[in-house]
Amino acid sequence: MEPVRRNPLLSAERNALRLLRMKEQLAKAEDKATTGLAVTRPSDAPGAWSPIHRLQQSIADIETWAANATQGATLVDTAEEALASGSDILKMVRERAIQFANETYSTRDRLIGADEIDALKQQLIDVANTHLGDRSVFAGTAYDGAAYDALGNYLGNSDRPEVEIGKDQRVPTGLDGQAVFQGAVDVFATLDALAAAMRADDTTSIRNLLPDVTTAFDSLVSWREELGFHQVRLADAQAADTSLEKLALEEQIGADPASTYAELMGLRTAYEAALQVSGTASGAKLFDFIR
Amino acid sequence: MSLLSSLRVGHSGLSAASAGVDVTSHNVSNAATPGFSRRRVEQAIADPLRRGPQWIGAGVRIDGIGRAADGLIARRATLAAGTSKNLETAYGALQPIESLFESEAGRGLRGVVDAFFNALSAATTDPADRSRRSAVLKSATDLADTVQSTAKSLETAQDEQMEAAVADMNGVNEDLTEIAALNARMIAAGGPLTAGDLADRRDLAIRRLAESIGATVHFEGDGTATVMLGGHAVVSGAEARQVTADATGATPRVLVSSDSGWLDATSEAGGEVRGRLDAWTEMEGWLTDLDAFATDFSAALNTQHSAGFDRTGAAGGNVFDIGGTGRASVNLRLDAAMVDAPDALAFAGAATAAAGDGVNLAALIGLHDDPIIGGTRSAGTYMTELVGDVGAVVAGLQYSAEGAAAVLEDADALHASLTSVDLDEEATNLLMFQAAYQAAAKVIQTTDQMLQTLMEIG
Repeated sequence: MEPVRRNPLLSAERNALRLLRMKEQLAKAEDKATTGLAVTRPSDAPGAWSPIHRLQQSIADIETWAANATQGATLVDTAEEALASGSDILKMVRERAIQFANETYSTRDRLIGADEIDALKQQLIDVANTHLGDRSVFAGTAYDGAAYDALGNYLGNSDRPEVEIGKDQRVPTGLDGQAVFQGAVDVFATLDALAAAMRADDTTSIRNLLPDVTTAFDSLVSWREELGFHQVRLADAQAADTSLEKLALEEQIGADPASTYAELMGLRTAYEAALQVSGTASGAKLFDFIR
Repeated sequence: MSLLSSLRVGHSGLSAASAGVDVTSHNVSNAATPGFSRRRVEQAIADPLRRGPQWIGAGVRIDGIGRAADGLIARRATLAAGTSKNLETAYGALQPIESLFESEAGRGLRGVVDAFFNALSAATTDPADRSRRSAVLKSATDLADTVQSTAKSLETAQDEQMEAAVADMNGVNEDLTEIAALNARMIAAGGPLTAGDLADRRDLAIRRLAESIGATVHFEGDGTATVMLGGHAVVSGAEARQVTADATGATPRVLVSSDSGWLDATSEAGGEVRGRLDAWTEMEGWLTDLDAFATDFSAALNTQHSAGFDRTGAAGGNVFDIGGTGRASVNLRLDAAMVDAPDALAFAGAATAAAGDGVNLAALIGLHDDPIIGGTRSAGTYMTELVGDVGAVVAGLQYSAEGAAAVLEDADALHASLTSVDLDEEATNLLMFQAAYQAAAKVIQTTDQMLQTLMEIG
C-alpha cells in the first residue's frame, strides 16, 4: 500500500485557506455579537422573510395609525367641546324662551329678551365656526374655509373628513355643520323666529317654538354622544401597543446573546488552535538533520 | 566474469545512483511547483551476460524516469475543481449583491413599499396639508429610486460578469494552444512517459481549463490529450480551437470555433464561466421580477390616481413614469409633473376638491393589499417573495460551494498523497542513492586496484 505523502509546502497552502475560512466565520460571529442581529441579509433566513416583513409592516402600520389617531383625537375633542358650549347656549335660549313665554313679562322685557336671543345666536354661530388652527371643525371636508357666514348661512359641505386608524378602519374627524345645527331642526332659523316672536310680543309663538329649541338641544347631545364613541376608538388606536410584535420580530431576527457568545468563543479558540497547529506542522523536516 | 565486466557493472550502479540523485534533486526543487508530479527512477536488472554455462549479472539498467500519476484520481480532482469553481464563482457573484434587496431587516425593497403606503395613510389626517403631501411624494421618490438603483446595480453586476467571462476566454485560448503544442512536443519526445515535465505542464493546463470552462479530457493511445467541451473537441492532437464568450445578444453565449463557423456550446460550459453565466441568469430573473413590479405597480397607482382630483380640481395625472429605452425597473421614476408638485396629488374624489376630500386617497391606500402585481400578488407580498428567492438562491449556492470545496479538498489531498513530493521521503532517497553511489564507487575502486595488481605482475 502506498504511504500517504505529505508535502509541507502544499499543506501550508491548504492550512492558509482553512485559516482564511475560519477568519470569515469568526468575522460573521463577531458581527452577530456586536449588532445583536442574526438576520441581516436575505440568505441569513431565506424562508423567514414572510413573517419578518409581516411583523415589520404590522409595527409600522400600528405606529402610523397611532400617530393618525393622535391627530384625529385633537380634532374630535375640539368638536366635542364646541358642541358642549353649543348645548350650554341652547340651554340658555330655552330658559329665555320659557321665561318670556310667561304673560307676566312686559313687552319691554320681551324686547330685551329678543336682543339676548340675537346675541346667543351669534355665539352659536361662533361655536359652529370653531377652528383648530386654520381648520374648521364643522365645515365638512371644506374645512379650509369658515363653516358659516355671519348670518348663519352654511358655507361648508356635507362630506366628513376621515382619518385611518386601522386596516379599513376610519374615524370622522370633522362634522357636517348643516347636519349638526340645521338637521333635526334649523337652530339658527329657530332662534331668528324666537327673537321675532319676542319682538312681536307674541307669547303663543314663543311657546310654539319651545319644542324646536328642545329638539335642537337634544340633537347636539346626540352628536356629542357620537363624538364620544369616536373618542374611545381614537384613544384605543393611540394606545395600541406594538411590544408583542417587536418581541416576535426580535425572536425572528435577533441573535440570542448566550449562544452567540458561546459560538464566538468556540470559533476564537478553534482559530487560535489552528494557528498554533499550522505553525508546528510546517516545522521539522528530515533535511534539517542530514549533515 | 572479467574484471572489466565488473567495472561495467560498477559503472551501471554509479549511473543508477547518480540518476537517483538527479531525480531526487528535481523532485526537491519542484516540491512547491503547482502541478508537479513526483518522479522516480525506474530501475531494472540489466540483461545478464552468458559466460559459458553461466549467466553473469550485468548490473542495473535505467528503464526511464517514471512519473507518479493516476489518471482516475487526476480526473476526479479535475472534475471536482470544475464543479467547485463553478459554484464558488456563482456564489461570489451573487453574495455581494443580495444586500441590494435587503441590507438589514426593514431596509430594502419591501420597506420602501410599506413606507409609501404609510405616508398615504398619514395623509388622511389632513389631505390638503402640503407637508403631508410632500412626504407622500418623497416616499414615492424613495420607492422609485430604490427599485431603479437595485435594477441598475444588477445590470452593472451582469455586465461585470460578462466582461470577466470574455476576458477569461483569453486565458482559456492560451491554455488550449498550450495543450495542443504540448501534445505535439510529447509525440516528438516519445510520449508522456518520457516527457514527464511536459505531461505535468499539460495536466496543469487541463486543470485550469476545467476550472475556467469545465472542459474534460481523454487521452488517446499515443498519449495526446483530447480536450472536450461537452461534445465539442476543442483540442485534438496538435490542433486547438478557439473559444469565446459572446455578450452582445439577449443572453450570453459560449461559442466554439469550427470549420463551419461558431458553434453554441453554452449549455455544455462549466467551471468559472458557467458560474458567471448562472449568476447572470439569476440576476436576469430578478431584473424581470423588478420589471414586472415597476410595470404593474406604476400602472395600478397611475390608474387609481387618475380617478381622483388634485387640489385645483383637475383630474389626476400619472404618479410614476416608466417610459424610455431599456427596462421598466431602470426607468421607474416619479412623473415629471409630480416633481415638487404636492398639490398635484389627486386625493379628492370629486372635482370640487374640498380640502378634506380623501376619497381617492382611501382608494390609493386600498391598493396596498390588492393583488396588483401580475394579478396575483400585492406589492408588499411580491417584494417579500423576491427577497426570499434571492436569499434562497444565495444560501443554496453557499452551501453547495462549501460542499464542493470540501469534495475538492479531499480529491486534491488524495491526488497530492500520490503525486506530491514528500521532503522526508526525498531526504531518505537522497541518503539511499548517496550510499548506493558510494558503494558502487567502492566497487569500481576495488576492481581498479585488482586490475592494477594484475598489471604489476610480470
